[in-house]
Amino acid sequence: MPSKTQFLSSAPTRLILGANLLMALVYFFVLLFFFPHGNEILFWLLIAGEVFHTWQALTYLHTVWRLDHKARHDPDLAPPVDVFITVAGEPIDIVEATAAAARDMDYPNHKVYILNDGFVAKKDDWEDVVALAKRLGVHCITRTAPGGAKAGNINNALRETRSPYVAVFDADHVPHADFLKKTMGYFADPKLGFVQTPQFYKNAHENAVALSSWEQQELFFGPICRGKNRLNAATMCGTNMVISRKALEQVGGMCTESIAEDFATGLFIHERGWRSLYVPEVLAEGLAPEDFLSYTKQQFRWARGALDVVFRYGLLFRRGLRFQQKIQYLSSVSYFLSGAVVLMNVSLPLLFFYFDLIPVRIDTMLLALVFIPYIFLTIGVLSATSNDRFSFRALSFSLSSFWIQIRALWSVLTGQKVGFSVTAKKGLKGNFLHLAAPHIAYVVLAVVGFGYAVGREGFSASVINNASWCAFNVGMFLPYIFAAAPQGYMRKRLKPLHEAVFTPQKPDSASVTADAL
Amino acid sequence: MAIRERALKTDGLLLAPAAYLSLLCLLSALLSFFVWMGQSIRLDEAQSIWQTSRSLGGVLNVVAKDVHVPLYFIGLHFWEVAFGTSAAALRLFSLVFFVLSVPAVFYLSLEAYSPRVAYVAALVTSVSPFMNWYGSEARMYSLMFLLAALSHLLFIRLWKRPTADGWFWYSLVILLGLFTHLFFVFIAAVQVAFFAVRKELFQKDALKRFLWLMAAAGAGYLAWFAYRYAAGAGLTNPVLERPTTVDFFNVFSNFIIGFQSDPVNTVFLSLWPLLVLVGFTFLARRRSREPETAYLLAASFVPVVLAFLVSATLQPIFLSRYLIICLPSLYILASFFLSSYRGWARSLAVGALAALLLAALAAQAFDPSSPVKEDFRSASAYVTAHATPSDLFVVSAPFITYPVEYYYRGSASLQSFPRWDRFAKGKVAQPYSEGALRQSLDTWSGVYGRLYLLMGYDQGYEEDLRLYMDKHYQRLEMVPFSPGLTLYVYKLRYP
Repeated sequence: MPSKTQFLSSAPTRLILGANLLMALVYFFVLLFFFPHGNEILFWLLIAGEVFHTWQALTYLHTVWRLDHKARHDPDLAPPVDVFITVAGEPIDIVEATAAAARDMDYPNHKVYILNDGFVAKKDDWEDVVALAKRLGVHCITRTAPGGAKAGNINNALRETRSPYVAVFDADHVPHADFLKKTMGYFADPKLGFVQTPQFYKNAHENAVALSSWEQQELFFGPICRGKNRLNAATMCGTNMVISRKALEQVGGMCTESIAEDFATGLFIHERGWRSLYVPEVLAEGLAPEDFLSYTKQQFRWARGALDVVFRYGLLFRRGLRFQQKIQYLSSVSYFLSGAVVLMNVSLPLLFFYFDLIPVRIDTMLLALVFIPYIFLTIGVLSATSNDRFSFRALSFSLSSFWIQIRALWSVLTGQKVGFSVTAKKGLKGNFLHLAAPHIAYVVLAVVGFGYAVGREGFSASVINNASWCAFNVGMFLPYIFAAAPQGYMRKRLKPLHEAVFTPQKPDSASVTADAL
Repeated sequence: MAIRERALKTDGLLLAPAAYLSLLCLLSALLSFFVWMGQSIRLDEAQSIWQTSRSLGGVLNVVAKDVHVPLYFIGLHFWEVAFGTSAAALRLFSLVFFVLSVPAVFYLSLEAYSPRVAYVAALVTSVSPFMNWYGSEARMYSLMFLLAALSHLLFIRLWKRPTADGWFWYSLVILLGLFTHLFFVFIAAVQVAFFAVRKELFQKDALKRFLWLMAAAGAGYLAWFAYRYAAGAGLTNPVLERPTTVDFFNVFSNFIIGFQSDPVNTVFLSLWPLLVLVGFTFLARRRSREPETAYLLAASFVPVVLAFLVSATLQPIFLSRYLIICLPSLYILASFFLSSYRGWARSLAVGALAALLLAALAAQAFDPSSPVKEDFRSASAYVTAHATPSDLFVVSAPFITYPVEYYYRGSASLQSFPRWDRFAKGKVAQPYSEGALRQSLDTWSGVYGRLYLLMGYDQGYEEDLRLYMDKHYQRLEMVPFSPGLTLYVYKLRYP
């Protein structure tokens, strides 16, 4: 099981954050002003991409600039709480563990409700859930009128319950006994709308997909969420959270228009002037997607939902949000726009190989002089802010999700209807290489293009430099392609190498200092 | 001892440190003997000989007129007294420091990290093309490397396990370093800056000790610079151009692959995006933010950046060999990061680095287009064989007189252009001008039949000089000897 505290205890120095900020700006301005343009369209595309990267860097640095936050807390506060466990066909044993843990929480005043959506979702086992609730001695609310997916399920339960606070858990997120004790005291602040806690994946070490999912989460639930506290912009994540019923009722319940119902609801609650809080402590443990298809579906759902919020709700122009909150929301959702920028960036060396097109006539060493310190400072900042938890594999999955994000963007722009789907709780077996087809195609195009470019102008500095960028991109895609590969000969044979390169070193127990010698 | 053996066995490192280090030292020594010792003496080496082949007072006097500080030259002076002034004997002095550098790096790595890193770093040092080059050059650079490694080792010990002896040895090494080369100031600056940022790591009285050391170093430098001023400094300052971004990266290219031809160097530098990829694979390596790593990172890069900034804004001083002080920490960091891979990926990475270094070492040794080969021996031998007493042998830039006169035994008179009195105060008395050249040629053509003009170390006027000669005199021959060193023979007058 991964560490439950390491990702929550980083304390980056302002020196490295400031240096990274400075180099991000220097790099951008050097690229913008110091090189003659090549192809004008490519140049401005590149600059647009760099504006986006700079925006991401600046907003990240702004978010993590200060991670400490003190909130009002009354340890004796224990108002009544309705605990909702949303279920839509998940395996019974998983639901049972969560419901039993919720029932047994060390709190004087809570009722547990299993929100059974199996009937409307046409799941065969919906009656088993009713029986389970009876057996465990918890309530079960089985919805019979469909609509609104998970948000609709919660809203339905809101109508049938009365407590002033509602805790929500996905079916696989097992709360710790002290979940409510550790969270409810913060509602001593009457303007607190909701409290969010980390979405911890206890199965992270199951395989590369689960681990990558968790390592990506660590960056988000570590420095990003901690930083958002300072700006009163905690993100509502749909599980492991407590919401004030009053706040929820003011915004008309959970948002049913978007598949990112949690994110949108949090936004509306902030808009009404409520405060939010992220409690940086693992108080519930869930399951990460264990197979590539589930991971892809989850990422697509998140991307589609976030982009939906951008295009549907006009974040920057909404009244009620403070400027810093708008920036935080925009920064969160814009991550899912990075797919288009990644595609543009990885295409540049191919455009040079095949068409001799370049965005800028670079002095590659001048570029290196500003880019290398910038990127290594970024690596340092990622390491420092995540307390050495954010890994190459997580970065690889992040960048390689570009195709998922582009598909999500396309579906938003073309108005395609996308249903809410629950992430599979048990790993699916199979060959998912088709999900990495764009990445495999890139490898082929890069190899062929390199040969073509060498044929055109030999092993020139430009060809070697662009080939290096292709190798960089291929290196970034490799863990992703590997994770999509079927369990078989190649995977078994390549696993040791993959782990040796991409898995962080175990503590070096054999290390001794010269003192010991 | 038992702990060490257990640790090494656990690490899968089969050879005991003593055997391993002996093997590497032997490798370094053999490489030097069979590859480098036989090469022609180079300009800087010839200058070393010229400066040290006199009384101790004379050594101090001529060194004071040059740009460097005197420690190495004093050492070389006594070495010459004992072993003579043959090229091999002089280079052996540097080889001693190079060979000692291998265990120094080993123990520094051990202090900072682990036996595994120490094994890799020692290997990297011993097969490094850059180190092999300067490990057998009669200059101060291998001594700088050794002192830099020792200063890091003793500095890290100051915070990990301070002792009164530790402070003494550290102070001694810093003072020796500062009087070996002025660039050692950069190492001292990094250490002072590190102390300022991380003073909680050090003893309470560390500030007082550092201040005493700084005062001692300052007093020593003050005395030396006063002496220099009195002796008349700045005589042989080479003309350096302001460095470009290419020069900046060439330093690191030199550190890794040594001195290669332009095409090879260009290809190598163009691979820089791969460095970024490798950098990303080190994400989530927990030990990367330990104070040792922060310190070694600063020691590897801050001097390069400072030297670059000074060269770009004040006075060009940017030469990769001066920055050899960055090399011990850089090699250790590279070894540390590569060692953080697991299993056979680590073996693959370390093997690839060693293979790269060995291939570069071989290319540097045997590729005739290697840019730092200076074949003054062949050039001098050629003129010795062909020129007669009625001919004139002129060298330009003037300071290549040093290596030429080391080898030249011919009957033609040897002069430099522009003319240069090595014992006079101030810079080169007669800077290049076409008028001065015309005047000299008027004189020469009245006396000599042919002019053997050896041109090397372009000081910005080589092309003008060649064009003038080609325009006004019949060129009889052109013989290239090594990159940047070419002999032109002109007919000055008809009998």
